[in-house]
Amino acid sequence: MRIITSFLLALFFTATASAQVDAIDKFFNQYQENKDFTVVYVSPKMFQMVSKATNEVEDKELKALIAGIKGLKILTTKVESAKYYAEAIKKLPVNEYETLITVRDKGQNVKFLTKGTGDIVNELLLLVGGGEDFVLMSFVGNLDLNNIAKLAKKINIDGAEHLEKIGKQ
Amino acid sequence: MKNTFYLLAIIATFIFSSCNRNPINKIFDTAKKEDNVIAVSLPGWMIKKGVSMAMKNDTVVNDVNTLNTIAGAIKKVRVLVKSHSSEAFTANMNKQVDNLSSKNFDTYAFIKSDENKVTVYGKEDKDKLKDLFFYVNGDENMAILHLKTDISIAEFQKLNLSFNKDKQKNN
Repeated sequence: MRIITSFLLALFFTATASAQVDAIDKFFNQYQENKDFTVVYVSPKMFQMVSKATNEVEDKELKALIAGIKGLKILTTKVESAKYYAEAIKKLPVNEYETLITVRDKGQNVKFLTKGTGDIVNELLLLVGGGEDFVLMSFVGNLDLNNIAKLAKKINIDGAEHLEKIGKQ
Repeated sequence: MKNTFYLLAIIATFIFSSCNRNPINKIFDTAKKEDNVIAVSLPGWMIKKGVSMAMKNDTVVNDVNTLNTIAGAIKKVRVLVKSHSSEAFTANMNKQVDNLSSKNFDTYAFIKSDENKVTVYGKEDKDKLKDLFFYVNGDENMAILHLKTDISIAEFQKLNLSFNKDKQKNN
């Protein structure tokens, strides 16, 4: 009986975890081909290669940051940002994340959602909407939040500047 | 009877070889049949020579010898650029490129902005990068780049690339 209960619990947790990833993937897939959206996807293998090739001394921080990232997805648009923000909040399992930062300024909402403990998180979700841009950024891996803030200067894409807010926290 | 057997053997061999055809070759062959196409293929020795000449004054790569080793592991580079693509051609190419995932190719990266899409595929075998394929798809233009390689993933570590532009300028 105990074995069956353990098995069912394991099955339940696996299904829940995969449902969360599926929800983000589904949202990305839904708008991947939409011409209004800019989409970026970088696979774990790509991060692994870049991390290996990066200079250990001169780019110590960047190397540490990249080594921790196992996946990155970015979805942005300048069209109907409030609508897409509301849709993302509705469709993504945001209540399963811990809210790190919430900012509401002149109609623009910025939400940082994390999973993990302390400064090291396993998943970071950035949601921006209501203003000029809609941004959905998903990081997966062993992420140091201090390093993520530094990444803001390295990513040349709309919405990445919001990552700096983590450092100011 | 013997002739029939030979005919069947030839047909079977043809079907087998078609099924096992390198999917990248198939993509290039399909695109080459179209109009408004420019295709270039460079052998490995030419790449190595070109890289060693270009890297003499480059500061991004700290170890030119390592880069030469990696350049030496590139067996072939093929580039194809097509302009004025029809919708049918683009759909056919998209289908063939999407099919790479089922042929042991991994999607390394995907970037889309407006009508332009860049997808990077890689195929590894025993910790070696065997194929690197870039698919660039614009509104009416398309470009594909294929690197046939034998690069060990461990060799990347020796590249020691520096992305710190400020430090490079100061040096």
